[in-house]
Amino acid sequence: MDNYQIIHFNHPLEVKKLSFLDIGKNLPAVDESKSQKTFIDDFSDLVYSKLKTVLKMAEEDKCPLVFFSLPFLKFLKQHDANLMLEIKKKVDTGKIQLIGSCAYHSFSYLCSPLLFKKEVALYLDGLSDYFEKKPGIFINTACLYDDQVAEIVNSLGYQGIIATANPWHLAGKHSGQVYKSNTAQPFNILLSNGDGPDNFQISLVNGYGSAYNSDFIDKSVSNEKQIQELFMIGNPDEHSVYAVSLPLSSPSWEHKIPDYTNNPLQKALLKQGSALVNQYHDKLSAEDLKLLMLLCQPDHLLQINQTSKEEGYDHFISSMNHLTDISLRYK
Amino acid sequence: MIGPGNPNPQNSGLGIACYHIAQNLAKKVHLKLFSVESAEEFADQEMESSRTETLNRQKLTNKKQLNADLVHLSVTSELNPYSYSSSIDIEEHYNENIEISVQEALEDFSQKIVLKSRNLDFDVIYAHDWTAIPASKKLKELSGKPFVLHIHALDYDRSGKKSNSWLFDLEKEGMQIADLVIAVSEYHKNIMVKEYGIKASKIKVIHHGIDELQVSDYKAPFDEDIILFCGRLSLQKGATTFIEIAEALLKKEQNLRFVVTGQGELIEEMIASCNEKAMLNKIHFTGHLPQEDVFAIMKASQVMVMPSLSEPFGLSALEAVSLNLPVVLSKNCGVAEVLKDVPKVVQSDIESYVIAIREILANQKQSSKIAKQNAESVKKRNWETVSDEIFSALKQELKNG
Repeated sequence: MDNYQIIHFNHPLEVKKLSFLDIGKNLPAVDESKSQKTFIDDFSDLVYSKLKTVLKMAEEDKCPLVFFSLPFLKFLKQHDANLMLEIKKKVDTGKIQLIGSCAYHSFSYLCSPLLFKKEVALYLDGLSDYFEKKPGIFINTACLYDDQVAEIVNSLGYQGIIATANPWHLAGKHSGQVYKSNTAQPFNILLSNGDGPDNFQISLVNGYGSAYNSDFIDKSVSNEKQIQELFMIGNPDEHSVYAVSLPLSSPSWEHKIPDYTNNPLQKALLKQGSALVNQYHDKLSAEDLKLLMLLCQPDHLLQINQTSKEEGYDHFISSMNHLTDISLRYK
Repeated sequence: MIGPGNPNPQNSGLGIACYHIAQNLAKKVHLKLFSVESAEEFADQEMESSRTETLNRQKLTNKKQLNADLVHLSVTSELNPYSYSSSIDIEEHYNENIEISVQEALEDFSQKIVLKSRNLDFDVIYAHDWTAIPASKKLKELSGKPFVLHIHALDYDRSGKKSNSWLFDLEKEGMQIADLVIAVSEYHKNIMVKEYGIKASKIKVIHHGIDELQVSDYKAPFDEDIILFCGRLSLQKGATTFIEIAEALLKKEQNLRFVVTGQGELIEEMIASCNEKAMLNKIHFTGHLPQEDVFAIMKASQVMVMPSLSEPFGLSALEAVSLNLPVVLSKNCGVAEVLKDVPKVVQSDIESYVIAIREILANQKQSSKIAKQNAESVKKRNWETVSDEIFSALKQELKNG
């Protein structure tokens, strides 16, 4: 049985195709109406019952752990304000425990740590439009973790972070245990279940719009002990260090990280995005930052690699056109 | 006529040429067109729908195999497009399968043409490139009618050398049995003679022409000068040479942008190469664009480079020139025969391209004057003129036959 489960609710935003001839025209980059329509289409079959389950668990004091991305919250509020209010009540009274992550559930970290930091900060800011409570614990998209992720998340005020317990990497470390990050300021890491068997389970579940393999919400899981408390176990100085120099992701995620990064087109897009962020990060508008984050959404990166070659090229070319479009605004 | 009915991303120059030739020939003769691609749009225009016959559309176009510009049909393991790929074995295996499948599809296509032609009263077989050769050969045998083969590109051009592929043999046989071969340039005629052993006396050169171009409304948002590559991203078109030229130019001039229009089998390698060279902020890949958009980019550019390994003609250079865009050509471009005062460079000589491009940019007034003169000159030769010459050649063959 799972000791904890973190349920993810996201709704990917569709980035519009941009032709080379449309560069410099300042056209809207995000297809909000199409994304909204997809949400509405999916709502009754795929979203509503999952949220009701979460609410029921909250009523039964099972304190479900939930991540809601900003687009998800926006569309939910627009589509079913009453349901949103019910969720808000449960969050604000601590019946639903919020888990923090990236605003758009993106892989911005694979593009640029700077962009990642902005997306994590954006999430914390954006969340205040919906809830009075803020999350204390962070889990990156796909549970992506390395030392620098910990450093950034720590600097933004989180109390702890969830990472993956892959035994091949951990050499004897186990899920459910707390470790110290390999960072300048010690930071607590709680390990979720990895790709080996462990008695203690923190399972990662796709509520909607995420790419975790399981979309089964186990109603019997009761997070009676607040997850923050797990991080407080023992004297922090006694925890051993968990050092990860290259990003590791959860085996519960549908694809491996190289599927998002290793194709030459993906590499080129991520490198060019990174160069843009490094060059203009202080000047980039909120809209342009959002677009950069959206280009790093898992689905978007995967489209470049997983669809037919022609479609992959089209996605890549359009994405690069967006980057050029952004760069021209800051010349 | 056996050939493509419409231009598409795969047949590019061949499709455009055949489209215009068919349009104009149809005004003078009863033209029956057998095509592997969709010709519905073509048929909807002023011509009779019965003139167009689309065969094997699903089977062939979906596989994008019967396509004269497609390089990998003729490749073998040592051949260039994949020599820098890490997956040579896989590609080799893939190509073998494709080759068999293409031969089967070609056989099927040819049989259907022969079947459809049984009750057709025709005078001349007018065929374009290798996809039309087996059917034309059979029709000639059955009917004894003259066979005119119009060659737009050869395996030699696509692979950059004389190969021992079945395609090379097919093309050679086609040209041998044809009563007349139409070449698109003297340059290409020489290849037919030297590499394929075809008699020069049976080859007639008819250069392509150009009609007025429809151009999208576009103003480039860049401050920099634009250097353009326009064509299939293939070895034949010198697509990777363009990247080398861009790299060398950027070492001397920073105020430049490079635009690559078109798509093709080298796109991934080209992007990876630009990424490694940290040039992706300077070079833009547009993918396949509608013709009017490509012309708009031509209008907004300062120089177009055609570094082709072997370019039988090079229609896009003619289009560029008609839009007053200066061009730099490799010496292996047939289009050079109809363009005056245009820089022509040894295909692999990167430094010479760099100098030629820089000279154009440094003397924009003079370059623009030459470009305008060339534009005036090329506009005189339109597709109607070209088709008239083809019509005369067909009539002559009919007389001879």
